[in-house]
Amino acid sequence: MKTHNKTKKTPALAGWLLKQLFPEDGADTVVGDFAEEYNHIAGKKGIVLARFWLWAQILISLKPYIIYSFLWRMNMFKNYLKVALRNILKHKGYSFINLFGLAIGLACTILISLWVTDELSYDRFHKNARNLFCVYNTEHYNSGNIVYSYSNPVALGPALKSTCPEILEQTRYIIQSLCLGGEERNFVMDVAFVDPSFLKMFSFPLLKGNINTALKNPYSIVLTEKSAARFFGSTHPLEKSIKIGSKHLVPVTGVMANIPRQSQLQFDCLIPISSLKEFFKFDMNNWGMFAFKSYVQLPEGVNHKEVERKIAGIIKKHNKTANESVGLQPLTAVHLHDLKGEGLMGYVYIFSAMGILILLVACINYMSLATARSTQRAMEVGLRKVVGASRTSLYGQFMGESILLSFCASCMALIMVHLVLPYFNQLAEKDMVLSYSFLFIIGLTGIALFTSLFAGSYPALVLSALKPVQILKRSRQKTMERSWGFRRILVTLQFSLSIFLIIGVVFIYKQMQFIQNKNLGFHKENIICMRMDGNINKNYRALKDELLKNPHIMNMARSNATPEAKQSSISGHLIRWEGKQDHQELAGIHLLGVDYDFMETYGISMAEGRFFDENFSTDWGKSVILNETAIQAMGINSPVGKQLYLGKDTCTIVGVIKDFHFRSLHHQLEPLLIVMNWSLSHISIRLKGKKIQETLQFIKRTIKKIIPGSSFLYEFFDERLQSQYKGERRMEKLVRSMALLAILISCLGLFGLASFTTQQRTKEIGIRKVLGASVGKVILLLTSEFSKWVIAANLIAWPMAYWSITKWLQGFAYRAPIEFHIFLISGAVVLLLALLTVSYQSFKAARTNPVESLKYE
Amino acid sequence: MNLLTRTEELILLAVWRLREKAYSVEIRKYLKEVTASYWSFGAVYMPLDRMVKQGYLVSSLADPTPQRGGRSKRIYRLTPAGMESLSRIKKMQKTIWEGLPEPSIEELK
Repeated sequence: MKTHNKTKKTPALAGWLLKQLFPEDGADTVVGDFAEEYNHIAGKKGIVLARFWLWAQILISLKPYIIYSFLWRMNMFKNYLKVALRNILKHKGYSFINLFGLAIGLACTILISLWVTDELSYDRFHKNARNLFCVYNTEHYNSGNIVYSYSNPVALGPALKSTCPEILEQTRYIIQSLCLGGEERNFVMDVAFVDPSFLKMFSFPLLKGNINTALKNPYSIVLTEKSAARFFGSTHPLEKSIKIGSKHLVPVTGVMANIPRQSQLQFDCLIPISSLKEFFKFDMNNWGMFAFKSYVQLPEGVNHKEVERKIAGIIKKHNKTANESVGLQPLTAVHLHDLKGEGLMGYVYIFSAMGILILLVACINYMSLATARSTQRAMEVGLRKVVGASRTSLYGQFMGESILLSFCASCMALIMVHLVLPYFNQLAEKDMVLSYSFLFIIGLTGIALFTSLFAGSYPALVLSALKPVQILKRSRQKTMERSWGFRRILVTLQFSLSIFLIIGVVFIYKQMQFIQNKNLGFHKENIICMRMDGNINKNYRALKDELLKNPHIMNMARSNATPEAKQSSISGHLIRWEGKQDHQELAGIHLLGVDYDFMETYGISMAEGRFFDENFSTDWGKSVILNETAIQAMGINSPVGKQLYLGKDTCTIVGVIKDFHFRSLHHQLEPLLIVMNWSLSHISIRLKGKKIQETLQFIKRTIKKIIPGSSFLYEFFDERLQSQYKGERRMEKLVRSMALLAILISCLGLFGLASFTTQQRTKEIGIRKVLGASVGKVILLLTSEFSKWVIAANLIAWPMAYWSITKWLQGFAYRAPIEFHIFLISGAVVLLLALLTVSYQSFKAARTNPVESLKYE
Repeated sequence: MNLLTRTEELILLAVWRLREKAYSVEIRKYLKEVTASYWSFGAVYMPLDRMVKQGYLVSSLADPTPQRGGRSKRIYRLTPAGMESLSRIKKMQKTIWEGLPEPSIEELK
């Protein structure tokens, strides 16, 4: 053997197995012995025989190993499993409550985590996501007002790239609704005008066409797959062209994959920004008109704050009258944070907290019920201990049971999520799917393990610590006393959460009602709005004359936006007026372009002066109307007839219109300037009477007749108004479902607990009844116990709810008042629910014949 | 009186004889040679462990060798108690053989 210099290593698996077989300290030398013998045999009889020998040795020793250790362990495990199952079956009701509560909690947490991960995934699919930034500007006023905006001058992008070497790429981005002509049909599409670098910066992959040349020529258009299909069906789009306006025929140079929902940039097609100059004679060196979004790409690892410092003053440098300084916001932050540092992220935090809270409530329930059940299992624990179970093995048993249950609950939860997900998607307006990715499975297992550890640890610790002598001497009342205080706290906590959520729901509902009923200053019902293209605008007179012949159409008007939509605005420093003092200043004014019948169509009234009138030829371009807030802010006395200077233009104020809410109620009323010389892109038609459907058909026919080939796409004005509060409505629905769930879970928990506590007090009740207590007295005794907890829960929930509601309402400029009786009513409702929950048990206990409960003494 | 079993006696003698080479592989090899029968590792380990517990043997770790995959040997040495029990069994054997001739078939006739 010594002549063989080469020594063979034993197979790794065999070595490992050997080590397992000898778990004592000697394992190392034993493995060494086998290695030596293995080498010896290998040297003498060959490696094959040596292997054979080694494995034979392992197999021989495996058998006793299995028999002596594994089999016994299995036996014990089988016993644990059997006892656990028997316990579950013995108390079917409680087991179901326990499992169901936990499953609901888990399902909620899964749904919420789906939503949260979805919100957090916005714009992260871009390969460069970390290096892309959105350019914004801030305007500081002497009054301390700061106005943030993503709209920049068109010339900013190229100037940024040429002045700052850190900026690798830049693209401008502006969305316009244009009517595009296909081979057969026309479509109104959201067209994004962008720089050629757009496709390289953002990861919108081209399915057809060349990424380098697709947007090079001003005469080119890149369609998304969806819009390509709308224009050309299944035929190959690359050789086809699309008509923009009436003159320009543009070839399709690329087809890109559909835009993922998790993108803030949503458009139907891309057109090079150079075509703005080519087609519309747009001045690409303009520094005065703020309308373009701008994105830049920085190199990896460059701090955007440093770049920001270099470019901050660039607008002021090129435009002496401008006051805006430039900043950069990471692309991935845009969806979640608005520039004031608020935004969706708040909701993400709220819902994450809710998810964790609901999971906690479910866990607390589980704990509370499992602890209560320990009364019944104390005997078992005592016996096990007497027979020789160690504390660790008991701990393992209860933990194992808890893990088993929570994994059952996870399976139930998954089934629930699958059932509920379609509705949840509807509610959240998303299309989330439950994908069993590695991360998800790990996460769910993690949650299940956490739940079982959290929920199982208390009973496991309490039960395994019980002293067998005490238990077997039936002095268990004493051991249970200790957990009373703890359980009281648990129940109180979850009821306070339920009360908190209910109060929240009520106040969100009240605020939504308040918004619904608030007089916005204009008429809301029976108005339809539609966008129009150039063809309609040209034939508007004829169309209006024709439509107004119908008695069901009250009036119609054109405007550049519907009254509730976000208006364009003019910087405050461009505005001067007759009699302006130096200290007077306007922090910008919103601009609304209208034509004659706008006021009548929307039912707005004048405070002073007159509205635009066809009899005054100067109204077109020379007259303006202000709202009351503007007059107040400017401090003009008797404004009608005074002059207003807008940059170089001079206008006359012909009237003051009564304030109406031209923005959502999140915002205070702000100054508004109404003019007539604006590009008018919307038609609003006010209907009257009941025959809405017929009137709509009539409008459609008339438009088709006068302007053949145009489409009739309309929206009801009140629906547009509603959509301003989409976020809040969604929140209302979500919080409502969560409140329902919280109540359900808390009541389930209370029900289980109540039945156990009454069971424990059976003897006491029996004695009370023997001594002459009435059924009513006993019920009172039992329910008052629980009412105390719920009242305590109220006291915890109220300040929390008050604080959160005030915080939430701060998002609105106009708020419903916080009424204190709502707190009381919510608390009372929850108390009533809690009493109903425990009443069944109390009633049953109170009605029991005392003989039943006392005869075993 | 505590008497050694035959296996224990054999192993103690092997340990004595092998001295600083007295570890399980060598002991087993020696036993196989002497008894001309198969000894499994387990048959060596069990009495060794037992006699360490009884105080007849002590063990210590020695340097590893490459054949052992870098693992150390456990070398066994006799303790005074071990030596005592050997001498006891030897005495007993002597007494029990005293006066008897060499065993042969002839004696049975």
